Amino acid sequence: MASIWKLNGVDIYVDAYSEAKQPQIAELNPINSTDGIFHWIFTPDKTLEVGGLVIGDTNLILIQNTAASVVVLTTDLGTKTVLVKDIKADRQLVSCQLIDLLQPQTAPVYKVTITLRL
Amino acid sequence: MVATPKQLYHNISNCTGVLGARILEAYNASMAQAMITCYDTSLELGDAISFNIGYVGDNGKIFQGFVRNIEKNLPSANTVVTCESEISKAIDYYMAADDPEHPFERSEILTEDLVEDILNEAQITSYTHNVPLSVTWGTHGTSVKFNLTTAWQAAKSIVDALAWHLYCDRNGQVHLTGQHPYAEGGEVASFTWDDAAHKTLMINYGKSAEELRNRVVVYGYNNINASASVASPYLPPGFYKTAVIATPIVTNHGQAQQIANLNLARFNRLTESLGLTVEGDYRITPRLWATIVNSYLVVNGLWFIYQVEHLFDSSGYLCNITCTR
Repeated sequence: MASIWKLNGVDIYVDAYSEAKQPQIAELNPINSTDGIFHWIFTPDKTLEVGGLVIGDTNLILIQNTAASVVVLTTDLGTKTVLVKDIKADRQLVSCQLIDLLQPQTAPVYKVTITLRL
Repeated sequence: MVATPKQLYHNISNCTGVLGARILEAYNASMAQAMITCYDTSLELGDAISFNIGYVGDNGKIFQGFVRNIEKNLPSANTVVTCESEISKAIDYYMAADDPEHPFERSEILTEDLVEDILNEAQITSYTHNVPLSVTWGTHGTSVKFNLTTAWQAAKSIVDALAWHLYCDRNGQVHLTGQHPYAEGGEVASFTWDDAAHKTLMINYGKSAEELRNRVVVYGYNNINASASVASPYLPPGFYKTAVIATPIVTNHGQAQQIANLNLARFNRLTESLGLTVEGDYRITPRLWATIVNSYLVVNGLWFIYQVEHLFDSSGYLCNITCTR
């Protein structure tokens, strides 16, 4: 069952969430060696990926307007301040929607994948 | 067993968001150059700069000099700060006497004192010398004059005539030495890059007679001339490749012959060069020696570190080195 999260106050019915922490490590491989040499350059903040449904064009546009902004992500576990890095949206071709009862049944349903940075 | 990553370190100040640094030092270069790529900088042209690079727990001074150029770029949103070492003052200082009848002039002066006087004109006062013999300029009633030339060109014309070497170290001190880029006995290796230690990331080797000169002719002041030559096993029998040194600061035959002999010893040799890439080490600098062993290229032995490029960025810390012997 999806969780209802908010990105900058806009509802997202989240059904997928992942986090990644990707340190930048350069690997050097000397000739004839069996072991690599590793240089740690830096470790950026976590990358979050949130997947879910957004109902209605208005909500989708509000979500898309957060691109490159620092906004508040409200989850079931609390709030985080995040940078919105990337937003992908796919229209789900459904005959009607009963997910958000405050919106018409004919409101479009979008599957969004949002990449955030802490 | 997997190695713990080494954390890169730098203490470059007045630059925010340092993305990388490239430092180039070479035996035959007039000065060392550093290029710092960062997001932004508060440095201005002419500001003094000095910094270390390396790893946390293993780093040291790599450069000292002045800011010479600042370039800002979009859309990459970075700033490139180009710096040059202390001796750039000698390159920038143009010797132009107020009265052309009375230019910079010296007589009966030793080489090391003449070079010091020229450097002082460019406000370079940190200087030391270690020369193999005494050579006096402006003798027999003549004098050495310089005008309408840079201080660096003036000093180099004297130093090159004797096949000596003038350079600036990382602390901003200028050195005059008789050091040559080949072994003359007594050298000790500061580094070892060999197969067993697995230190070499890339290596290539080349050998050429292109720069070999087995005859040197010197033309000096007022028809003074001298020459020196020797047969070379790398050239056809009886064939001589000639280098010419023509300068009015050579004022007697003895001096001309001395210069011809010194330069013949310097030029009459094969050029063997080795290019290699190793893990970065701030200690690697030209004019030191390294023992290099590679079973594929068969280049075992002592090599002179001629040029070093320190690359310090998101690809790690590497040194691209050129060695000669």
